[in-house]
Amino acid sequence: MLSFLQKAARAGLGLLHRPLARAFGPAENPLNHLGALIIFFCWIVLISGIWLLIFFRTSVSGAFESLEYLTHEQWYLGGIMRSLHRYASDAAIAALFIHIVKEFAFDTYRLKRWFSWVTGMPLVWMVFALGVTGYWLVWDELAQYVAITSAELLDRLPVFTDSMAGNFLTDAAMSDRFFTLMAFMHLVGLPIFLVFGIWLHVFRLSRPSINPPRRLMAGTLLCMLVLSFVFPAVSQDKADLEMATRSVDLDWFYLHVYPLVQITSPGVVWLLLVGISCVICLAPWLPPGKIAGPAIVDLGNCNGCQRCADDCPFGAIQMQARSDGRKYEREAVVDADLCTRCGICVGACPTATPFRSHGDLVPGIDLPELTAADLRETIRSVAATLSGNDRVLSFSCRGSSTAKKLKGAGEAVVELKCMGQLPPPFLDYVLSRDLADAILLTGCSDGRCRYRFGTHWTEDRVTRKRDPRLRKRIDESRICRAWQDYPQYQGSVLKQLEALRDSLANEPAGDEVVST
Amino acid sequence: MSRYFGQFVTYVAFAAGIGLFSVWPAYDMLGNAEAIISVTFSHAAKRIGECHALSQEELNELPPNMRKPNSCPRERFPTYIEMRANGELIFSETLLPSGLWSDGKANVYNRTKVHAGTYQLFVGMNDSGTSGKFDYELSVETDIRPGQNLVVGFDGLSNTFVIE
Repeated sequence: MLSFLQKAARAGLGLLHRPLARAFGPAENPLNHLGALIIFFCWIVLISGIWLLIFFRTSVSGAFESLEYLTHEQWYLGGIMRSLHRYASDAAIAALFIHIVKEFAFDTYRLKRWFSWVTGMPLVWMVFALGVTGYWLVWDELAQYVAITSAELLDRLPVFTDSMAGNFLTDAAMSDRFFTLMAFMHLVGLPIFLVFGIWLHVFRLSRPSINPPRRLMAGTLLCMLVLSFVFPAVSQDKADLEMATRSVDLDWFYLHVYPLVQITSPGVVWLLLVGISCVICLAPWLPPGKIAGPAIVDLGNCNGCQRCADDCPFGAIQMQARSDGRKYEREAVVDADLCTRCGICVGACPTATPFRSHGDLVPGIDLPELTAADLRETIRSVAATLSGNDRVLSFSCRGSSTAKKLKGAGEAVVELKCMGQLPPPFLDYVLSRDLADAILLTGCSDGRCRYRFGTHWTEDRVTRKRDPRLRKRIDESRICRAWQDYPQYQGSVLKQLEALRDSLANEPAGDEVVST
Repeated sequence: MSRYFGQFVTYVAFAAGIGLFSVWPAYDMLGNAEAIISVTFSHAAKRIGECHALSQEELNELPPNMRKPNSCPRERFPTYIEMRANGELIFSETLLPSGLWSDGKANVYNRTKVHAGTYQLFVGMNDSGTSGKFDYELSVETDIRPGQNLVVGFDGLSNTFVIE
């Protein structure tokens, strides 16, 4: 059931992803920066909110009037700020929804990532609470509806001794102090918890992406501004507690649950919300969870170089004082609870070289699920199936669909946990030992990597920007990198393979790299 | 060029989606000729028994620090309320007293949708555990306008229903 849902979600995201990748490129694809975009929307909300606060009056009669003043008399600034405040809030919810679906679809919420997944849930509740209190403050017909329905929901909880909803049925029951309380919650209380929650959410990630690319930020801000000018946010009629709310223009991003209170009951809605939240929080431990062993450090081969610790996307490796008395200062230590078993640390280890002539191939750090020795054997056996003068050995990560495509076409493929698991000396090994004439590296695009930096680090290592670098003696034209979503990729890894074979047939082919 | 066009289309679609679903579709709760009758108040029902003096035997059974001459039960009766419009029952509920010892107020909150018009409205409440009669009641003819929110409350000082 879970697998089916994930497959459906991946298919749905794929429909969005392909056109966005074409339009924005992999580096600026909004789908690769959803978390950062949400934070960016929060910045817009914060700055516009500060402007609104300057003019906002926290009283029953003043709240509506002050917003009317901003909207109509100061439309050129206050009105735009108000619209930005609303639309950026809505955009944050839209991005939040896609963010959750994406993490679920690509199964990136298990193992160590449970922490970010679970700490994300209170953030969702807080964002919705912020939206609801925000609509409450406007004190128009929608606010009246929100106030009564929220109070009905809260009354269902065994917390309040008196009926809270009763306070919103007559004008006499309303007081200015209530607006002060709501304003405090909206402007101070909830935002403080939200900031702390965001910090906690990314706490266990190394190099968390906080800001989206500048051009994406500029485009999004411009988009919100244009929307605010063309379709400014306005209040509905002023709240009148003597009259029942007949019809409201609902903000479906924030208030989609509210009609359910009228259609069913507050109890059912609570059951639904708490139930769904619990299931989502428990998802990391639901089947089919496959838990292999974490990366293992072999002190006999670890020289404490720190590359594994630098490259680990989840901060699972710490460098500590040497414990075995060898001459090196430090040694790598893996925190099994934080390790996602991606193998990126193995790809970073300078001792993971298949050329070793003495002893077994045991690098300083290794992944039990697919050891460096196993990888060398796999490469040998897969390469042995190749023949002719256009032998191409492909490497692909298991998380991408390219391995499946290549295998389906009868190509020789070595599957890795993540492309970052491949140490560059293995490429040297394949070409210098004449196991193949060329190599195709393919998999998720940068930004879509299941383990965050696998493609990024591989790209940097192969282009000799990051240690361990590809040796200079290797002819780059024999290594084709075809990451999904790159413009050159053109939707099919098989096309790239064909192009690579053509270049082999027309040697010498220069040093063109198909995708960079 | 096609890339920038793609970005333009994406931003337009995104803005349109955000703008549209921030106000549309409207959610209709009441028809043009409908109104709401709300019943809301908190009420402390009568206690289930009177205070009575403890006998010497009963006092002896208690720990020395808890020996008070009178015993007063804290619990309250459930509150039953019903409302009729032109004789037709539109709301009835039995509410338990709040609190761990069932000694708190009972909270009534209900919103009933009705057609606008003139009604003979009857509200009755029983808080003494007796069956078949109301301890407090109100019968009044009222004209309810379309869209009106008629609120029925209870004044605990005068022990009478109030309509706002």
